[in-house]
Amino acid sequence: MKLYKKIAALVLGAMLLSSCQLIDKIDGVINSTSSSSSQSDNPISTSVDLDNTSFCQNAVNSDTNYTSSTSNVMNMSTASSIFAEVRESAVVVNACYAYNSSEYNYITSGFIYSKIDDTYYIVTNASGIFHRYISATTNITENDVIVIKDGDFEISFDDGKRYIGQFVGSYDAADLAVFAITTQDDIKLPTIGSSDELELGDSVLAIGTPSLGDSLINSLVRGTISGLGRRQQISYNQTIGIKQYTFSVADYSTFQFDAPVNGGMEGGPVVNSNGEIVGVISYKYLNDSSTVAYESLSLATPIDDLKLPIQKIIEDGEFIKPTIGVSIADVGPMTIVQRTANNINDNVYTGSYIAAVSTGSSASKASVGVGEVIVEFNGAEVKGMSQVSSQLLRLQKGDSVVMKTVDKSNVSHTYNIAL
Amino acid sequence: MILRINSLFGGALTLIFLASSIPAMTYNNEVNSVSTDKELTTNLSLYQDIDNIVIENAEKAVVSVINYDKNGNYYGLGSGVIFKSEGSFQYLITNYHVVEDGATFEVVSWDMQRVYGIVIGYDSIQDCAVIRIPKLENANVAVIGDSSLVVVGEEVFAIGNPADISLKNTITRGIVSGLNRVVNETGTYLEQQKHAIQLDLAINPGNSGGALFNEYGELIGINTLKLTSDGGTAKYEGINLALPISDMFLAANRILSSAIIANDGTLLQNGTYTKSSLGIANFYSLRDISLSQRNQLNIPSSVISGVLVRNIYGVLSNPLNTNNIGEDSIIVSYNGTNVVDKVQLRSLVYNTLIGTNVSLTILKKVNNSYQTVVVTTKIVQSQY
Repeated sequence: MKLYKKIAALVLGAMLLSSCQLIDKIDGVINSTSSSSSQSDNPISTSVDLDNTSFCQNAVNSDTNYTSSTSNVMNMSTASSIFAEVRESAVVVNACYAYNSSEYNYITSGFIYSKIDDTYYIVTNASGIFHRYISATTNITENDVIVIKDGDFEISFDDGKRYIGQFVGSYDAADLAVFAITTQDDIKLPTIGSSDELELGDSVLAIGTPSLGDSLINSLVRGTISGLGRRQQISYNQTIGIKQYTFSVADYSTFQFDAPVNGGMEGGPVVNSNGEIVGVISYKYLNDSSTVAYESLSLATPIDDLKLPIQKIIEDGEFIKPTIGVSIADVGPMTIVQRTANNINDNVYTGSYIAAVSTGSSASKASVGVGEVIVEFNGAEVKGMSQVSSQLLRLQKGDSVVMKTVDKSNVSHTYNIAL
Repeated sequence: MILRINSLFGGALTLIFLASSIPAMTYNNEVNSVSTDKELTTNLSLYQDIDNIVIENAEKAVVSVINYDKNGNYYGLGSGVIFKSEGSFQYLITNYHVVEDGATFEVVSWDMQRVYGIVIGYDSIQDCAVIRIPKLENANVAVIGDSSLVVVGEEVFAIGNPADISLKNTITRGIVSGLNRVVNETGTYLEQQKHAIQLDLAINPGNSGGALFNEYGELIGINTLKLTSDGGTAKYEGINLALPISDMFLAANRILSSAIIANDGTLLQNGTYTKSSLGIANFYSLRDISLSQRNQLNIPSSVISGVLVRNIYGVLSNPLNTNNIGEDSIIVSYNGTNVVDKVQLRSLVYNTLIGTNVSLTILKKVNNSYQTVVVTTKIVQSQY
């Protein structure tokens, strides 16, 4: 069977700037990030005492209590022991399809997330597997609706085991899909960690299977947390209906890491230095407007943003994100000219500018003011839409949420919004 | 014009500027703390988390530089580093190719504060530019390290702004792959040669002008270039180059000190740079000459280091020519300093003022054999 590598070139709209980057839809990769939690039980604790060096005397941050509790070590033995722990939970999600007298098998990575009775639930990347599935099945035109057939997806492991995967549900706006396999076999469950504890500079591992398939199954790569709270806006060329669900635009938060990630690895786990899954590989930047290929600009969805959606998909088959009913433009990317045009207060550098409030929406009922800038949402500092998206994924209709804004005169406002 | 592609080493390699449609980079000079007591960690740890405090202090000195053309259109993105803070201003070091062809520059601090910057001056040969901005209260001045202490294998990390503003202050890490790599971004003349530090960490278009830090958070280089391909279909991966901070800091300070600024801060005249030249067009470090070529040229086996000159430019007016120093001569000493290779010779010339007489010891080719002569020649102004 011949495998064709199909890379969907997706346009990442760089808000307010005219440049667009192509980002490569990659199949699952595991990227482990070491969390910042202090771990004194690390088997090989070889931290360097940076207190003794003469760096940055000019920039002492007195607020930060530097007690050097942070040094998680990821060395050769921890990387291999973490891999040994996680590899049994790592899977390949295969979209199998016979088309035009050829058989196709398009792959995306994923991992076992939880188990209920004899059913194991598998998390993967929605656009990765479905885009490939759609590409494989037919020449979809816009607005065509594809219905998934049972038996079209298979879940395979690197020990050769292979199961029929049942599609459980997806939440496209966070690029999440959940599959299930039902078996009496004993499959190891991974430890799910917390992405909220990730910090810049932490070491991570990622596991995934590049699109060549079995010959590169469960490739392990290593990297560093390059950035947190990166907003991703992904729009698809095709409108894809998954059962009754419409696949359109994803706008969600990711973290960035510098491990090399390739097509096929999306959906794979990112793991911290404690061996806990903290993210799901989603995208990589592909190349700039000329021919220069980007190197190791990789993105993953934080696991803490996915916990509630996964739970709801398993329980109800779907997750419905609550809305607050505002149109938002992030302040950070605004040019000085745009800041002036929008009357942004000089002391406000980041946050989400409220361009409009929908009539009858939750925000409207709470009397949220147009032109204000959201600076805190559900207790989280808001640098931009990324943090609002993260928090909305942890809330449900019926919850109430506290939102703080500043207005053009730098006056603070606090709203209680019923979702 | 954003990504310039220069040929390196006879055009076999493709070299690209690290500016996202524009390159930029800056440095900072106010604090010169060099730690000399580095303890290299000789444990098995391949990847230890970078300490939060090191990152926090380092990233506060790094900015993004957005370049707009004269019509106000977005032209490109680069990075920069705050290297000096004085009165109500701060100064960034960046790459010249980040500001080249730009009309206005928005500088974005680590915490997304935006201010306009003005270019105080540039050094196109060293690919260095200095931008002045209003003082940012929340920003740091980078701690300048000593790039001469950098060793191969050393753990380093870069901070810059690849791709677009949404990836601001991207941290990538790796090790030093090599030292004293010779790059010539702008041309092949002696004055256009410079040293670079080779890295395996990921830097991308937009990282230009951004910071390379050692594990203590000291600025040791400015990320400037990457090798992208061998000219064929194979893409290189992880061959990235930073210019040592020693060279960039020198150029930046020369730019600053030569700029004429009124008491009210108005820039009256841009800072400038050294255009000192020996007028050498075609040359090789002797160590790069093959044995067969040495035999062909009849170079004595006792002569190991020096620079072989194949052509000189400005033939009639060139001081070397008027001293009757022709092709295939070997420069072995410059004002009493032994000449090791072309980059070292370039550095010696670079730091000599135009019009200065210098004493050269030269092995001059006469009738297919070499004679030692000592000549006095004059440093001229580069045509490039």
